[in-house]
Amino acid sequence: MRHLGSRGFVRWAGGGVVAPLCLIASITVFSFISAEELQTGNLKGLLGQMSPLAIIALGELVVIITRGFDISVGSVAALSAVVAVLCANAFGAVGLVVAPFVGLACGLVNGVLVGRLRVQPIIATLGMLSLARGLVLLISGNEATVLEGGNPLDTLGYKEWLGLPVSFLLTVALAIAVTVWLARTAAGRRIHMYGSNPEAAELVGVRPSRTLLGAYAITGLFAGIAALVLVGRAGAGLPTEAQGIELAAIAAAVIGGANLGGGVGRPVFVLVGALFIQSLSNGLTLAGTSSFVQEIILGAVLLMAGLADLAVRRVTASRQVKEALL
Amino acid sequence: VTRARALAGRVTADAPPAFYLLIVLVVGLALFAPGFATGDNLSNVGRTAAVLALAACGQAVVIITRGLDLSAASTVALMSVVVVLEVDHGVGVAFALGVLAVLAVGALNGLLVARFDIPPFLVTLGTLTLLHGLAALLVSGIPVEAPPGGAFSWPSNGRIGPFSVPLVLAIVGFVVLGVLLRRTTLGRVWFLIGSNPDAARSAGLRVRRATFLAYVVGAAFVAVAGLILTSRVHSGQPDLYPTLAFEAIAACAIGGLSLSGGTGRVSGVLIGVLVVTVSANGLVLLNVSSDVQRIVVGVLTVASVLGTGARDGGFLRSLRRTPAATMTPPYAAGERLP
Repeated sequence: MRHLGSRGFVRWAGGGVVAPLCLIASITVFSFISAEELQTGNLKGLLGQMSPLAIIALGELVVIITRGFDISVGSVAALSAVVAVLCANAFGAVGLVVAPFVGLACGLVNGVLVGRLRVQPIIATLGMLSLARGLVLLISGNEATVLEGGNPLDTLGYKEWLGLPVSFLLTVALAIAVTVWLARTAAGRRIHMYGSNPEAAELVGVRPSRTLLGAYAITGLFAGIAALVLVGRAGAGLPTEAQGIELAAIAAAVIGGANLGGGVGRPVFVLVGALFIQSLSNGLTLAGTSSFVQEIILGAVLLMAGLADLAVRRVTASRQVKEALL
Repeated sequence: VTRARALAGRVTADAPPAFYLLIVLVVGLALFAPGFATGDNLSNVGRTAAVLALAACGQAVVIITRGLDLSAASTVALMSVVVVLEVDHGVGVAFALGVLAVLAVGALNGLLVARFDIPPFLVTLGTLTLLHGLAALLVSGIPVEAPPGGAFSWPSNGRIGPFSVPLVLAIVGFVVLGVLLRRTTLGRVWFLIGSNPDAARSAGLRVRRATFLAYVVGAAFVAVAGLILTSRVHSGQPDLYPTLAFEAIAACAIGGLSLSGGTGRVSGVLIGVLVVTVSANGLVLLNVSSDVQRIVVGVLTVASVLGTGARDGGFLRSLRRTPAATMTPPYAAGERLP
C-alpha cells in the first residue's frame, strides 16, 4: 500500500507539510536580510531557545489529539519552576526534581476535570491557568526566586553535547518518546482512537475518563520538564515566566499539522513548528524589526495553517472516495 | 402568594447554580465587606460590569453556535488605536471607524469559520495574534493619548437621565440579545446549529450564512464594549484588556451556557457577568491581594461549571453524554488505526 507519491506524502504528513515549508521560507528570507542568520552559532542558539516551547508543544499535541487543548501550560511551567527552585534552596539540588511532579499534579487535576467531570477543556484549563499563576505569584511574592549557590542545571541551560545544545537533545529525546508512545503503545493508540471518534472508541472499550486523564497528565508533566529548562537558562524561577506560551505552543502544534478536530498529529512536525516560531522571532530580532511584525506574521501563518489543513482534507477525502469506489 | 411562589419556582427551576452563588456573594459581601452596599460602589460595579457584559453578550452568540471568539481582546485594542489615530477627523467619525474595524474583524472571523470550516479556536487565535501585532505596530507599541474633550469621554462618563451611559448600553445590549435569541429566525437557527449542525444543514437552513452572521453580530457587541473602554482609558492602547475574551467565556460558562453549543439564556449571561464582577469587587474591598483574586476566580469558574453539570443530571448522565471536548464538528480524520 505504501507507494509514497506526492499525495501519499501529503497523506502521511497531513497538515504537517506546512511547518517545514514555513521554516525553509523563514530561514531563506532571513539569511538574505542578515548575514548572521546562517552562522552555526545562531542556528545552535535557535535550537536551544526553542526547547521550552517545543517541549510544551509536544505535551500540547497529546491533548490536541484528544480534541482538547490546555491553556494552563504556561502558568503550570512557571509554578513548577518556582516550586522547584524553592525546594532546591531548601533541600539542595535534588529538590529540582519536584518540577516534573508539580506539572504532573496540575495535569492530573485538569485530567480529572475534563475526563471524569466532563468540564470543557477551555474552562477547566482556564481555571488552572488562573489558579497556578495566582499561586506562583503568591508563593514567590512576585519576585524572581534565585537559585542559591550556583545553578546545577546550567548543563541543561547552556552546555553543548556532541556539538548540539543539551536542551535540544532533551527535546529530541522527548519527541521520540512521544512518537513511540503514541504509535506503539496501547495507551497511545487509545489517545488516537478517542480523538478520531470518541463514540466509536467508547464502544470498543476505550474509557474516556482514563484516556483523557492520561493525556492531560502528560501535558502537565511536559510543562514541568520545560520548567527545568527555563530554570537552567535563567538560574532562577520567575513567577511571570512563560506567559502566553500556551498560545504559541498550540500554534506550533497546529502549524505542525495537529488538527484541533482531533485524532491527527505527528510530534516531528510539531518540533519543526516550534523551530519555525523561534526562527521567526530570532530572525526578526536580527533584522532589527519590532516584535509586532512577528505577531502579524505568526497570526497570518496560523490562518494559513487552517486553510492548508482544509486543502489536505480535500486531497485525502477525494482519495478515500476513490478507494471506496474501487 | 401562590402566584409569587409559582413565579419563584419557575425562576429557581432553571436558574444556573451561579444564581445562588451570586445571592450568597451579594449577601455575604453586604454583611462583611465594608463599603460594598453603598450607592457609589454599586454604580462602580455596574460601570465595570457593563464592558464585560457587552463582551459576554457577543461571546454568547458565538458560543451558542458551538463557536468561540478568543480575538475580543485584540479587537478592542485595535479599535482604541484606530479611534485615537483618526480622532482628528472628529470624535464621531473616529468612533464610527473604530466600530467598522471591529465589524471587519468579525466578518473575517466569520468568513474563515463559516466558509472555510477552520475550527473557531484556530481562527480566532490567529486573529488574536495578528491584530495585537497590528494594533501595536500602528502606535509603535506605546499607548497614545487622545486629546482632551467632553465628547470623547461621554460613552464612559456621560449620563442619560439618572443612569450612566455604560449601564444603559449594557441594558440595551441584553435586550437586543434577548430579542435576537428568542424572537428572530436567525436566533433560532443559531441554537439549532449549536445543538446539531448536521441536522440544521439537512433541514435546509443556510448554516454558513447564519454562522457568518453570528461572528459579525458578536463583533458588534464587542464594538460597543470597545467604545466604552476606549472612552474610559482615553487613549489608544495595544494592551487594553488582554483577558477580556477569557473573562467573557468564563462569565458565559458560569452563567450555564454549554460551550458545546445549543443552549444559553440572556439571564444566565447576566448572572455570569455579575458573579465575575461582584466577586472581583468584593475581593478588592476585602483587601485580598490580586494573586489570591486570580485563584478565587479560577476556582469559582470551574466550580460553577461543575455545578451546572451536576444539576443537569449529575455524573451518571454526564458519563452517557457525548464528550464535552467536541468543540468543532467532527469530520473524518485521515488517521488509520492498526
